[in-house]
Amino acid sequence: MALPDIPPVAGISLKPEHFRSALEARADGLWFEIHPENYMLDGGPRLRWLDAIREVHPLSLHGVAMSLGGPDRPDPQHLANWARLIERYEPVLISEHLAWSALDDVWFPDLLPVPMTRSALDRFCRNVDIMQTALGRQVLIENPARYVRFEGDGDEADFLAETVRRTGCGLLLDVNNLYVGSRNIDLNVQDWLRRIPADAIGEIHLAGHEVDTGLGEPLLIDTHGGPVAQPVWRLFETVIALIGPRPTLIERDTDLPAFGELIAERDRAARRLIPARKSAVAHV
Amino acid sequence: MSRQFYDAFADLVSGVASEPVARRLERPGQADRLAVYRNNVASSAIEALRAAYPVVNALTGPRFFSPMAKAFWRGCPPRTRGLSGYGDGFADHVAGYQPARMLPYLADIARLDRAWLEAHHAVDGPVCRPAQVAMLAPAILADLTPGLHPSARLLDLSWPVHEIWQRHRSGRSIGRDPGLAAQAQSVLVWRPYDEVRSVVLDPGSACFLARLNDGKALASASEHTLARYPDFDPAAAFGAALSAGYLSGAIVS
Ligand SMILES: [Fe+2]
Repeated sequence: MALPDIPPVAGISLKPEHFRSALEARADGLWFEIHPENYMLDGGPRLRWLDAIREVHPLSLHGVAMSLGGPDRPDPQHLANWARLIERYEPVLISEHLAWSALDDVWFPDLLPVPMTRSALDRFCRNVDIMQTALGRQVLIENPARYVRFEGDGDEADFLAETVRRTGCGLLLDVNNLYVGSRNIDLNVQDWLRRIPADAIGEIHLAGHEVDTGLGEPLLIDTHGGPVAQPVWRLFETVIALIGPRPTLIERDTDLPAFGELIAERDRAARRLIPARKSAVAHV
Repeated sequence: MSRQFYDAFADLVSGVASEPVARRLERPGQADRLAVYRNNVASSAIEALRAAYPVVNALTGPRFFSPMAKAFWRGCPPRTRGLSGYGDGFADHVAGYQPARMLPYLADIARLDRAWLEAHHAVDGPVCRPAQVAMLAPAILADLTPGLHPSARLLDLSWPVHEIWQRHRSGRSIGRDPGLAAQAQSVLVWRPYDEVRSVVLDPGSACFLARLNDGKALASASEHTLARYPDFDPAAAFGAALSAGYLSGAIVS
């Protein structure tokens, strides 16, 4: 499947608190990403706000609940809810996670870690395939924020690269998650970037993390609750120098600041994409 | 083998046991880090409940609310994907939550918060406008079955909490303990267009609307109500319903 046709411009996470500002915003190339689960509703103003915003700005649907890395197949009801939203909002990008969150009929509202084993890879690829087939769309898969390694864990980049090879999915490179992993479990960033098929990366996430020093060794926690940290900006620059510009999102889920603050962060990302866009054009 | 990993993890994040997951760590000394997952799952659920029950949270304070919400989550974790509709049944939990027994009306506040959320996200539907029925002959009007708007939620409360709830909802706090006396109160919560509204109903109107909500015709609902509340004025109740906009416009015309 081909990567979706969206120019490498910068967007922000959209929350209901910012609906009016989002509708009125006119920044060049601005796009918005939502969690589709928050729009799986029978009706009401939230859906109509998104109708209006989607008329003005491109949308991305970023799922947090498909549990693709879980032991079970994707939930048919949840797939149907996704399909309805895709039909209604015609998103330019759709994405999910290398994570799991559902077991039997209980849903755990978090992105839980997938063991990086051969059998987990087989199940994950089966589930990505089911999701892409059901929706008729390529899905971008996001790399996880990791806190620990489990015995028998293989290489994360190989796991993702093999998923791309088998399913034709794309990747969503969360630079903050990559950085968090490099600090928490010694992920080798250079090696990771070498092993990842750059052509498959269809979107980049930038988000804030918190440093928890209560456990002795500092633990970086992927909170999406603050501004993007300096080293993450630097890693972002390394990434786009290496792979070229990609649609880039400022991801913020908690401690929501004023809309203008997010736009300022987004403008910072957008400025870093422009030279890369020019040199990408120059290479053609 | 691998199913065991997920079962063990479910036990970890449900707060049942962390040892089975800790045993699988490459570095056993990092078992404390697993708390990140356990905390995320619980706090996502708690924050979703806080957002869904804002007046309960305001009246109890967040420090009281959090353990009450956590106890609910333990018994009733989300069983659908996403948290937008999470928290059905929280009012009953509040009613039975021992530490909240000094606030006996709190469960009714929770019922109002829940009705607001359900009305807010309910399926959209036309509202019955006065012009739709103004021209109908009395005999036809009598047989009309104008159900309630699909967003409407009729509540029979045990405490007269609507005003307190309403004030909190509109940002006007009235302090922690309003000192109420138990007394039945019927409230209708609905969303005619984009904004959720609510109104206190007299017992006759509540009875009348409940019949209409069951699909009964205007005449039959009126008779039923008059038999119980001889002072009930069907024309006035119907007129109020039309002008406020809580009858469904999806009626035969
Ligand atoms: Fe992300």
